[in-house]
Amino acid sequence: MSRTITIDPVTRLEGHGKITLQLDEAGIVQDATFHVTQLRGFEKFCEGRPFYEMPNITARICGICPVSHLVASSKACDAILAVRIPPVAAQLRSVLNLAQLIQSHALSFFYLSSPDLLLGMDAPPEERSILHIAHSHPSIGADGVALRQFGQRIIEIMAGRRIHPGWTVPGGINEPLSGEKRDQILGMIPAAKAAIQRTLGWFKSSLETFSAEIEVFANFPTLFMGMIDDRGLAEYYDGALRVIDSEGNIIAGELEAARYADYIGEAVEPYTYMKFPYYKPLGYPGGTYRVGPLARLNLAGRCDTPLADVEWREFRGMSPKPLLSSFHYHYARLIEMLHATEKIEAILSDPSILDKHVRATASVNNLEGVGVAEAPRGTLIHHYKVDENGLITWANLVIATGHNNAAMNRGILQTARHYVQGDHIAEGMLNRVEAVVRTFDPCLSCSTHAMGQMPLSIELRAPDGTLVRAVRRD
Amino acid sequence: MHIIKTKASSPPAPAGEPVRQPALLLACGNTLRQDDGVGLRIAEAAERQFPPSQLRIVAGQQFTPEMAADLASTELAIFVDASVTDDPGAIRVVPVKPRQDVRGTHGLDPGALLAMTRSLSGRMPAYAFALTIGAGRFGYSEEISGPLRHAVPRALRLVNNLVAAFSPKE
Repeated sequence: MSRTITIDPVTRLEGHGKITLQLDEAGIVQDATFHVTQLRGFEKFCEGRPFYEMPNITARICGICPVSHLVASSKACDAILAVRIPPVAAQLRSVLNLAQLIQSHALSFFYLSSPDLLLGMDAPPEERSILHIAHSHPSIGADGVALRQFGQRIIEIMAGRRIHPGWTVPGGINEPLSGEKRDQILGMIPAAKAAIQRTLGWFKSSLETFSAEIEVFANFPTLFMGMIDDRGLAEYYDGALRVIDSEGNIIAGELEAARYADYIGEAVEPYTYMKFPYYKPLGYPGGTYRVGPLARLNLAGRCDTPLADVEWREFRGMSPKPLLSSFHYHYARLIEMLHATEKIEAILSDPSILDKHVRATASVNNLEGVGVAEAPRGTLIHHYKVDENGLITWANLVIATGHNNAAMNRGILQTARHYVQGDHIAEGMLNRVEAVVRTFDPCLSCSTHAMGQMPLSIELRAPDGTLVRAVRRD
Repeated sequence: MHIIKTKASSPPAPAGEPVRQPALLLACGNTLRQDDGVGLRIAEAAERQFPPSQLRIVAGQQFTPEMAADLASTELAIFVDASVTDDPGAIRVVPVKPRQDVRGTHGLDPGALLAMTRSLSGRMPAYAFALTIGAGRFGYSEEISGPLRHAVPRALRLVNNLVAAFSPKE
């Protein structure tokens, strides 16, 4: 008799998801599906709104990465205005975007995943939280709290508040940076760098203990996609998109981000509200690709800052080809935090960053605009169409987490096949199935920030729906 | 409405030795859900009344772990939040003690935050109080209900009293 195991909800993610594992009669996992059970509807209810409201409306999609939406949306609005924003405005937006990346990566690594990494996948669930880490590993917990606060403080200093800031607007930003604020941010940089380097030190030293997880945590060939600058180096604010295959071959070198629809298709599956983007030339599911930290570090020529480049070389030196295990998203996240911190320092150390001309003004000049930026979790695309009055008639948002959807599903299947057998459900086994999803750091509902202890129910059901066995954690 | 806003002349560094601040008001709530936002209304009013050198204000939708870094650098902490168990407009001030018996962080409370602060930095505020205001309406609106509007100035006076009584003297 075949049976189904359901993990609902999946814990320590941003949002609510459910995993279903289908077992065959021998108790072997035959299929795995990751269900995103919330419907947000932003693309629909934005219709009819003035385009210039879109940055603030779409920032509400996410309480963790509102800046990413703010930036991508502002860029789409720039395109509708048909303006080239002042260079200093682009640089300041870039700093804001990098600060967002730091605080989000800190949340993912320290708050959500460090309990698995420090206490082990088999630790009791009541111990797997940042609160417990604060007591059991206070120095690491302190670095995590400090780094998240570091990113949030930069956002707050520049944009006035940590969550749902304004400041970035169509045409640029609405206020130049003061020297006092710049100095305040620069003053925080050395401590942040030191904290990230300490974290990299212990993480790298512990990698060997996770060799089993590295082997089966979404470790398979896919394409990788991410943004690069005009030198082919890692870029987060503005640039072309590059796609590589699992051998490291560049199969699309400089795709114009605004023409994403030419090369990205979106498939749908009946069991989830999240779409399945794919690389069109290879079809679905053959065109499955991954985005985010691992993809960015796999496909870029290097980072462009001294300390991050040292770490990048060591990271990429682990394999002559792209690193395929999604477990390495954790490692990549730390390197990106270092890169972002150094980049913020470099941008703010240029005296021109205090220039007062930070906004270009215009009215509607294009009836369509696309804005693309790298969010913490990967490439984020905002695409709007407007009427002659600037009212939104159509919107399409391709969210970073969505790009990874197909790979996450395959990763769950791979991990479940390795760890789940028969009707014996061990806590550590289930945590590993959840943990493979956590490596991608998916942001499912975005605005709901839930972590730590949430109810987890696992059900084994017969094909006719009869409950065979249930396990619940409250 | 600023969901998260701090007001400080010298914010703490992300790591290293924090600088002691005189007093800290931590407020949480959701201004889009009527009375749930009363803590943030009080934070706004306090921001207008107190200079940053006297009271630092940190406000958000919920109490979060990174607030431990703020708590590590103050002698007096006042947690402000709505209460669903008290009558609308009723104000309660109670001392807060650190508590470690918290299983998760989804509903991080002041006691857990204090314990976390102590573990992470080896220090915590000498005095900590929870100031709660009974709330009765949680619909979709940015307006708090009548009893809570009247409670805001009373709560502000209590904040003033706590700052005057427990802040370190110059």
